[in-house]
Amino acid sequence: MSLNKTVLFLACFFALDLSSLPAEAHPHAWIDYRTQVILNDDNKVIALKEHWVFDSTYTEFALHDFNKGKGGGKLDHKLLMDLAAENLKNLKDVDYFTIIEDRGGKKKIASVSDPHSYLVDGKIALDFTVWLKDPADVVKNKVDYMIYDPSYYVSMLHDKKDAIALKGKNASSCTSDLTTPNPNKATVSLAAAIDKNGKAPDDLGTYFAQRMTITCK
Amino acid sequence: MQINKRWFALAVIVISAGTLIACIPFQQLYMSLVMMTQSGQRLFHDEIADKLQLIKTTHSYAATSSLALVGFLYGALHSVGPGHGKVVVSSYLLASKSGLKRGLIVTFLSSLLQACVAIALVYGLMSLFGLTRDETAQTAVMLENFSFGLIILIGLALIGRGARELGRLLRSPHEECCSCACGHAPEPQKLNKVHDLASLAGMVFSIGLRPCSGAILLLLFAGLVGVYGAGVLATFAMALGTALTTGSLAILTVQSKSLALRLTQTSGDKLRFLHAGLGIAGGLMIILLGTAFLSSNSASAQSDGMSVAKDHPLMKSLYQGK
Repeated sequence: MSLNKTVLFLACFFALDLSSLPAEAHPHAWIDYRTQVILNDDNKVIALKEHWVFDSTYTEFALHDFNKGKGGGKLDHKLLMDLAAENLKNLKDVDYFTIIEDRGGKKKIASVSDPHSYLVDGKIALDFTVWLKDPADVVKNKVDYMIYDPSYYVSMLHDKKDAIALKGKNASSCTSDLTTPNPNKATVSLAAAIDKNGKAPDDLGTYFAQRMTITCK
Repeated sequence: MQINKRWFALAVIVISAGTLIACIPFQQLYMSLVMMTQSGQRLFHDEIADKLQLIKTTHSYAATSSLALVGFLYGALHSVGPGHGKVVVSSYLLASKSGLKRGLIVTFLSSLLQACVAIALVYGLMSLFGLTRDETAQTAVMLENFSFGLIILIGLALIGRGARELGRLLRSPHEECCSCACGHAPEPQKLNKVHDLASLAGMVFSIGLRPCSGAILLLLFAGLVGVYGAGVLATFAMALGTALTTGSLAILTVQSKSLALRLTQTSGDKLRFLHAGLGIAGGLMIILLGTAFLSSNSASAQSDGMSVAKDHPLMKSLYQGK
């Protein structure tokens, strides 16, 4: 081994050192969700019923902090309903992390109904239904929807492959398909490089978002 | 001396070029590590939540020790990838003449300090003085900045030492270093010892002052659930895990360095030149690192440490009561 090689060898260590990242990376919370696509008799999507389950960490913080804010006591039914209402209120500006598209582009959301939270296996669930302003036509073209946090602070994924249900009188002629992206390593490491207080690029979450596609005969 | 000067210029070029080239294979390895960390993070969150609940309901020794095990594993695995402790330690060991013993002392003490800082932050400030989570987070950011500042100072010290050595070598490359120093400097050994102790303390504080985010999360959690003792225990287990990994890296660094030096039979002036060069390069790298950490901290944290978390649509509700 020549001396130059020695120097190169030692330089390798410096290079390895350089690849250091902040300690706590995105994401910081996780949501497993299920969806029910509500179709009308003409097989047009009119609503999306969403069922989110938060991870144990979020649940624990919510149970204690939200509790404390409301004067103590157990996190009873009323407090859980308050939490659901509060979360939905805050989610309004970001369209409830829900994007529904047909050929004409992104569909407008008219309203949200029936938000409620409860405990499932010790974890907080959040249920609500997103109503579209105009129905999305599945017969003429396929309809896609995605549910994700663009900042990737929260990772949101369908918990099982069969977690999509199609509801409607003629829904039997429709099928759903789920695509999970395989983000490239650069994107994953970008996410890892943003720590808790860091601001993510606005669209980081899209690289990790699942896309659900509905098609009807 | 002509030859030595030329050799030094070559070494500098090789170091800079080598750093760039070496990034490629390591990058690949590092990426898979990052991928692993991503899924590991959720597992860690879930595990500590489950174990703490178990401790609360059963008060069992088994549950407490399994939480400690989770902490230990987290410490050992997490410090493989992210974190700045190993960077500072290995860069320093590579760039200075420090031996293995010192490297291990630094890694152990700094991990211990890290645990103590996290405990003092979460339990001391939050529980005893009633600081909110925001205020605690701000204190943590302050400590972080302080430790990054120390990192920069260490880099400067390394450069200073390297430059002094280089200057001495270029002035009188043939002379033995000691013969000129012994004559007029009083008790150089003692001076060295003081200097050494200062740089040792600097290393320990620069690494240990910055609390590990995993430890803070764990302690916050344990506090919420109300099992303080188990939280403290698991935090120290985590520190032990961190020390294990960082210590292994220190061993690896020192051994590879001495192996490389042995194989090339580098000695005498060449060795001193190499050390001076490494000192300057390592110092620059450490300064670069400290500055990067510092600027990313001030860019993201600005005035409020938790602003991003607080503004998130799903996190807002959690901060409301506070």
